[in-house]
Amino acid sequence: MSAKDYRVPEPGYKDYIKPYPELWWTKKRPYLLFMVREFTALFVLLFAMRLLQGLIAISKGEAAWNAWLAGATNSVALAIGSLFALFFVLFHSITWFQAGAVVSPMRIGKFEVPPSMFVLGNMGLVVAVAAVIGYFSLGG
Amino acid sequence: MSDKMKKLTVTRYNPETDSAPRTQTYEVPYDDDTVVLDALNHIKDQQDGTLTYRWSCRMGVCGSCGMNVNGVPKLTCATFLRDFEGDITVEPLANFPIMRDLVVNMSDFMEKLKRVKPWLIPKEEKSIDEGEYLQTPRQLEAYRQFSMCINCMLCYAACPVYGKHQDFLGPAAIALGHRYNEDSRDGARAERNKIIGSGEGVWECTFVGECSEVCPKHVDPAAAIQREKLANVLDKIKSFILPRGSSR
Repeated sequence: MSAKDYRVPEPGYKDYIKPYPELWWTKKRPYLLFMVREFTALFVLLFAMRLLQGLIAISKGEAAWNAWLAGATNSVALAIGSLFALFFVLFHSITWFQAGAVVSPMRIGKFEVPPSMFVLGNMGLVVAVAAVIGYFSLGG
Repeated sequence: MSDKMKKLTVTRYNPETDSAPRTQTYEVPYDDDTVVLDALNHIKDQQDGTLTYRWSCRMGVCGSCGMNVNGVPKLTCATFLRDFEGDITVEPLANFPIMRDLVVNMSDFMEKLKRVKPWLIPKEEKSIDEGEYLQTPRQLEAYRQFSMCINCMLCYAACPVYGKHQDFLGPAAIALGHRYNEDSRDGARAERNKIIGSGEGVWECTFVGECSEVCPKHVDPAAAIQREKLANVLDKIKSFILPRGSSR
């Protein structure tokens, strides 16, 4: 079910169709920020793949896990890369909650939770959970 | 009018003589109350009667006078000259074919709007004797914001997805579909979602969010689209778990 292609002017009309700029995302700041958001998601993917690798290593036993850990701690390049990725993972957790506030706005009784509070609340939760996990994984 | 003057560079296109649009610069007097539409009216009245553009109510209700002012989609009746430092560029609404000067061809939007069936389709038609379709304030609140759309198409001019892919149903059409989907008196969600939930519907949207930024009526079409995405996914999951159950 496709609409008629209106870009072909109707008979008798000579509409002018402006070509859309290939580099449209350089034309406006919000478009550029959108592209930054989309492209930096790649780091989230790399971060997730690296974590998955660690999980697989655990399932293969102690030797594999230790090898993965050694890789993570001994390689300077990987450490810097991971820090970089961590930064974007945190950035995208904010953009994710920003989207969440739009997709399913929260209500408490009659009070509509503003998006900024939704993001702050959820980020607070992330920090709290991370702190608990950190506490136990560092030996209590 | 005061003696303050402002330069307006306006897109001109005469389909009978031009192969491409050109620009023409006019100088207009203005004061604190002058809007871009007033300036265009001044040009047409005093300087150049051939300038063509659409307008009607000049109070932000009819949605006819949308144009790109300094590259940003605006209702020209609500855009004051005093807010601009230098010269002003007035172009036809972006992403639409130009018919003449500042007038764009809006057939595509009209066609798309019709396809989402933006009217009430009750689950069961009630007879007049049975009375009104009642609704609580809370039920009204669920869709009220989206019913404020005036079809001015500024959101289409701001949307890079629509600029690149004209198949995209677009922000306003989906927001209006969502308005009826969220209406407690309506029962045609499944029917509407054949279009809204399709590849040319919500899934074409990448959530740039500029549609909501430019909306003069503070409708949030980006939110409507993302909520329809979620509702469509939930419907798919439901129909997978309960193949014989109907969608909500």
